[in-house]
Amino acid sequence: MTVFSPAQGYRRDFAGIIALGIALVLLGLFVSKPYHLTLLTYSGIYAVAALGMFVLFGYAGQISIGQGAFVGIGAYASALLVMRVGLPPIVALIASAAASGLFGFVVSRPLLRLTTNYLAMATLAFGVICSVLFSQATSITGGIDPGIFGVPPFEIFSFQFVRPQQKYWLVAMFVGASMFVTINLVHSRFGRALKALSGSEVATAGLGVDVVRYKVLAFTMAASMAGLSGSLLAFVQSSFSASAFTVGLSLDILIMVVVGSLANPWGALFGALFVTIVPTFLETFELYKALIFGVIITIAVIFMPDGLIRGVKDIARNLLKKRRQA
Amino acid sequence: MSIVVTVALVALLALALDMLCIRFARRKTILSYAMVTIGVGLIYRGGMQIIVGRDIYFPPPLGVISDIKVDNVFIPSQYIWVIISLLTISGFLSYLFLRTRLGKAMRAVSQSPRAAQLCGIEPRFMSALAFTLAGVNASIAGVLIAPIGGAFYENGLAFSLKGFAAAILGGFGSPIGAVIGGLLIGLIESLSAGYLSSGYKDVTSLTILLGLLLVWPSGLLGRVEARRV
Repeated sequence: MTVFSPAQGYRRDFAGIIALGIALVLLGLFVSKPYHLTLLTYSGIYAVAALGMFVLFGYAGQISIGQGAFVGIGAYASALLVMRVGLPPIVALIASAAASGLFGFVVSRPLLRLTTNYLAMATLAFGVICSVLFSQATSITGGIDPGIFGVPPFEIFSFQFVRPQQKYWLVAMFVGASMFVTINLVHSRFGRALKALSGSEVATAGLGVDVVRYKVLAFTMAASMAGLSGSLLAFVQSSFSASAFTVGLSLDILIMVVVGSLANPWGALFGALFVTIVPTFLETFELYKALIFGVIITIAVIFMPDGLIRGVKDIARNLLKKRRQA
Repeated sequence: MSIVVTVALVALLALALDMLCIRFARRKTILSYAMVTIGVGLIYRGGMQIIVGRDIYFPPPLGVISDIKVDNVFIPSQYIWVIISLLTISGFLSYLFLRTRLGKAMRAVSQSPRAAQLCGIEPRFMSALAFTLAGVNASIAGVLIAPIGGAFYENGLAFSLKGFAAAILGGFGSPIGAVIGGLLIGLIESLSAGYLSSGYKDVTSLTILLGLLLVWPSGLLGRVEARRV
């Protein structure tokens, strides 16, 4: 096994970002079918939320099964800010990501006193509470039916993102930016502190790291990235209802990270693509969704705790080794 | 007869969760066990959705006992069954955990599997037994609630969260505490549905769960289990 020095690791990831940028541009230029572009757009939207979840769960080791709530807050905040307050979309987008982050900050202080299965249960309960509130507070959210519709398209300097291709570029920009931020974060003092505290909080505190502060920061960041993803969803989809932000969405985001990778931010991109695109292969997927995702998450957690990519890699390496020995 | 088969089948599913999934988890942490149960929960729910569909079923009440009507108070027989089962099961579990060697062994494993193993207790057997018992209890609860609230493939999530809330309210490690916790949660939930709004019913009980976890993780009758950071 090759051991990378931290600087080498950063250089590799930085090269990865350039490769990602090129790939995103090439996809935008050469994928012409609106359907495929839309799939990529949605994968990108979820990838932003999954990257936040990666920082929180993969790096800091703090589980949250309530990310769907923050996606919902981001979506409702931007829709309301644009439609009722009349803010320009770009301001609404930033404000709703900030609002989501602020909300995450407020709930994280008490929530993160819990660990492991207690934290899982508490965040799950939080997610259910929020999704019930979304569907019941009909005067603000429109509930499950009709929900919110007619969100104006996103625009920067009076350039509007209307066609699927334009929406793709919009989301691609944010995916690239989120990836850039995440990579830099992972390779910083902050990232190293998170990695350390996921190993042992006591030992990390012993090294002079303010454990609570870093955990809260990670949760806030994951919440605001989920909010950003919700805001993008509102602008891209232009109509949505409370049925989009249930526990199912929280589980999807969790699955993206678990299937992708818990150790590598690139896994979140893969996971988001996987969770968004696999369902389209099966005609009657809605019926089988819970079963299939259940099998995937169970197998991944039991046999490949480091994610699907890493798991397949390890299996391949073991097979090669056996063949060489034989 | 159908009830016995139901309970046996669910017990088998719970046993499968332990022996086929949790036991093989590569990473032996509580978090990874929790993730496995979430995944298997999805599998079971998804499987039910495919096998029985998305309709709500209302099986006939258990019957046998007749309804009670005293003045204006009317208690249907199904509710009497619930009370009888509650008394029997909580009595049985209290006896099991507090009076028998088996119960003592289970509690020992929950405190320290390694130390228990040194004393000649097989933790894997105890874990399988615990999962089976939990499955039996949960399926009895399902059998009792189905004629009242209907059987629906997605019912499980709300019940498991509320069950968790009840167990925390009562304090883990105390069957009687769990019973009291469950009764309190149910009572508060029904009262809030009546006085506030029935749409927010789940919000009430889950807010109680959150509040308890944060403020009072040891519950009414338990010792501290959640580690504070």
